[in-house]
Amino acid sequence: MPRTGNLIIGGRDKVSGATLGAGSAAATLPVTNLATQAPAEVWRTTSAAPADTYITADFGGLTLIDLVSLIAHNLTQGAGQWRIRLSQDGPIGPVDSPGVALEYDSGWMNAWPVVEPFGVLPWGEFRWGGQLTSDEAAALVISEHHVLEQGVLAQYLRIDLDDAGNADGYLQAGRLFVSPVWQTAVNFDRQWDIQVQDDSVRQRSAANVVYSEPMPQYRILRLALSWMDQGEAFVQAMDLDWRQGVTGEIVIIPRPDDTDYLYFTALYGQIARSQPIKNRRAPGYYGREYTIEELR
Amino acid sequence: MTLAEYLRRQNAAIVLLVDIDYDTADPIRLSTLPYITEPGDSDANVLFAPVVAKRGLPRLSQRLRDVWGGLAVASWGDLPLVSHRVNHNGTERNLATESLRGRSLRLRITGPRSLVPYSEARTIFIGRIAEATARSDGSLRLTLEDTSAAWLDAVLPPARYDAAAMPPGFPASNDGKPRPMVVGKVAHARPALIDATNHIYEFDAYAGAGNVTVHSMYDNGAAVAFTDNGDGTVTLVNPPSGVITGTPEVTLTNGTNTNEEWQIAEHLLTTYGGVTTFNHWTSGVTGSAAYAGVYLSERTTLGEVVGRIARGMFGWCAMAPDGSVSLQALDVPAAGGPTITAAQRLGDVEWRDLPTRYNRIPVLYERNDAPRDTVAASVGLDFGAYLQSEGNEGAAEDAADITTRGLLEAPRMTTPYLTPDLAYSNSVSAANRALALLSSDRRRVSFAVAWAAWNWDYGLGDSLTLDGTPVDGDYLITAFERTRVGGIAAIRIEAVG
Repeated sequence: MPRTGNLIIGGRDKVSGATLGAGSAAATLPVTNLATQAPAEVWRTTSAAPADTYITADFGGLTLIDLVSLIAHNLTQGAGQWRIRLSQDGPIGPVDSPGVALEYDSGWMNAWPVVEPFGVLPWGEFRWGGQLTSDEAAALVISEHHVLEQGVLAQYLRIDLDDAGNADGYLQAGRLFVSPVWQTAVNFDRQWDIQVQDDSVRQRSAANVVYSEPMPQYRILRLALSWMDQGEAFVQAMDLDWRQGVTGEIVIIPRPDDTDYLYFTALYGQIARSQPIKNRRAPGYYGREYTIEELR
Repeated sequence: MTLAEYLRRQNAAIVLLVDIDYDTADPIRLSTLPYITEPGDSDANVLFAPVVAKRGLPRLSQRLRDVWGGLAVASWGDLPLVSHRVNHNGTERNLATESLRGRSLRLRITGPRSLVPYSEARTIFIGRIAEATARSDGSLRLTLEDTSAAWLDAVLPPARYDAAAMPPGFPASNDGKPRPMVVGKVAHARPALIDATNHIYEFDAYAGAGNVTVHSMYDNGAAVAFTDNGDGTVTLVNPPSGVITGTPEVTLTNGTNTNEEWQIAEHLLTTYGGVTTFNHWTSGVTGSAAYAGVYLSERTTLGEVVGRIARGMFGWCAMAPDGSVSLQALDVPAAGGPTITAAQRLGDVEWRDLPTRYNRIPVLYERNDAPRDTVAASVGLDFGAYLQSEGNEGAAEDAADITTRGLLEAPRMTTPYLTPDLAYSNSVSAANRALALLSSDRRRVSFAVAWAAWNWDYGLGDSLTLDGTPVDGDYLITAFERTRVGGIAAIRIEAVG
C-alpha cells in the first residue's frame, strides 16, 4: 500500500554513498552508473535472464528508507516487474532463498506507470491498460517510484527485475534513488504549475519551410509551501537546501494519492533556484517557493 | 532507417559523436545528446557522455581562396564541453587533468540510436586537438585542427648527404646538401655529383634499386654516353665539360608508374606525409605514360610540392572531412550535383559579378626543365634558346584556342606556373580549363542551407545547381562553412557560376 497524503520530497540520496552490485553488467555500462546524476548514463545487464537482472546495495550501516525510485528503465510494458527487499542482517539472496531476515518485501510490482486513466481518451485513442506504447515510451523517461508505507531501517537492499522476454535482450536503468522522505504537514498551495520545457530552436527557410533542432524536453514543476511551522521550515526545508542546493538531486511526488497521474507529476530533478524561506504574516508559519527542473 | 533518410527530416535531431583517441583501443566518447550503442554494434554498449554544449558543433570552413593557390584554406572552430568530467566506461575521467594537445579526435554525426543504426554514423572530421582551455566553472573548450600540418610541413627531400658515408670521390662541397628525389619522369633534371673521380651522378636516393631508370643524359644540352647504374645513379663514360642534365624516371616499388599528377601526389603524401587515404578527381586530366614528374634537389616542404602539383594541373588540394587528402582539378561549373531550392535555404542569396580583371589572368605553363647558362655547340639554336630560357613559358600561348581568347593581352607573368607535366598537350589542357573558367563572366554567390537539407555527399569543388533564385544556374562550390542561421545548424556555401 503506497503512502498517501501531502507532497513527498526525497532529498537524501543513499545510493551515491552505497556499495552497489548487480547480477550482471556490460563492462562499459557498470552498475555504478546508477549512482550518477544523469539518467542518460545507464547500467545495462548482459542479458534479460532474471539471474542477471538484480541490483544490490550496501549502505554501510542502518539507514532510513522511505522511497525507492528506478529512473529511466527499459522494462517492458505489462511484463516488466520489480521487487524491492530490505534487510538489516546481510546481503539478500534470490527471491526464493533470501538467506537473511527481511525488513521489507514489496512483492512483485508492475514496473510501468499508469499514464492515462481509463476513459480519459475516446474509444480508438486510449491506451489499453493506461500505459504507453513502446514508441511513445522511447521518447520519454520511464520511471517507477515506490514510497514505502512506513520508513524502514535497513543496511542492505536488493531489487530484482523480472522481464526475461525483453526485446532488447538486456535490461537497463539510468538512476537508482533511495532516500528517506519529507512529507509536508500541510500540502502545497493551490496555484502550482507544471510545464514541459522545450529548448529546441526553429528557423524558416526562404520558402517558409520550418527547420528545427529538437532538444530533449524536460518538465518544470513550480509550487509553494506556505504553511510550514518552524520545525518543518528549518529541519526539513532548510536541511534540503543545505544538502542539495541547486546541484543535488531530489525526487518530488506532489500528489502521492493520485496514482492515475503520478507519472506526469512525479519527477526526478534539481531545485532550479535558491529561494528564501520566508516568515509568513501568520505567526509561526513559514513559506518557500520551489522550482524543480527534471533531470534527463 | 539510414542516416540519409533521417537527415531529410526537417526536425532531425542530429547527434554529434566525439571520439578522443579514436584510433586507440580506449577512446573517450562524448556527444551532444544522450547516446548509447547496442550490444550488437561494432562498439558494443558504449556510452557517449553528453557533455558537448548543445549548440557546440564545431565550425568548419574550407575555402579556395585563390584558384591559383593550389592548396585550399581550412579552419576549424572550437568544440565546447559543458564539463571536463566525463563518464568513461563507468568511471569518472577528468579531462582537465589530462594533456589533451595533439590527441587524435574524430567527429561523427548520426541520429538517435533508436532510429538510426550506429553503423550509419558519418565521419565529418578526423584530426587532433590543437588546444584545450579549461575553466573554473567546469567547462572545457577544445580547439581542433585537421592533420594537414603533419604533411604540409614535412621536409623534402628527407635525407642529406653525409660525406663519410659516400665514395672517396664525393665532393666536399656537397656534404650536408639534400639528396635529390625523383617521382615520375622529369626531363633535363640536374643530378648531384657524388663521385668526381668516376663521374657518378645521383638523381634519386629513395626509390631503391630496380625502380629508377635514366633514359638519357646531356652535357650542356648535348646527349652523352652513360651507364645507368639502376640505383638512381649514372656513370658518365667521358668526363663532363658543362652542365650535366638527364631524364630519370622512378616507378613505385610495385612497378606501377607514377605517370599522373595524382599518382605523384599520392606517393609523396602517403610515403612522406603519413596520409593513409588519398582521393583524387582530375576532371579528365590524365597523363600519358611517364609524362609527369617532380625532381626535388633543394629543401622544400611536402605542402609546397603538392601545392605546386595542384597549381600545375589547375586544381587544388585539401583535407577531406573524413581525414583523407583530396586532389581535384578545377573545371567550369557543370550541370549536376545537388539542386538547392528556396525550401532548403535559410539565408538570403547574395551574389556579385566578379571584376573583369579576374578573367584576364594569363595562363602560362612551364615544362619541368632546368635552365642553363650555356649550351653545347652541337645543340641547335632553337633548342639552345629554349634551354637557356626559363622553360617553355610561351608554348601554351601558341595554341589556337588560347590565342582566340585574347590571352596575348598579357603574354607573360612574373611567376609562371610550373606544371609537372612533360606532355605539352596536358599543359594546354590545364590551361584551357583555366581559360574556360576565367575568360567568361562569372558570378559568385553566397547562401546558407539548412544543415538537415544539405546533401552530405557534396563539398568543395563539386558542382551544384541553384533553383528558385534570381541567379539560377550551375555553380562550382568554392567555399564551404558550417555555421548557424537563427540558431539552426547550417552550411554556408560560396560558389562560382
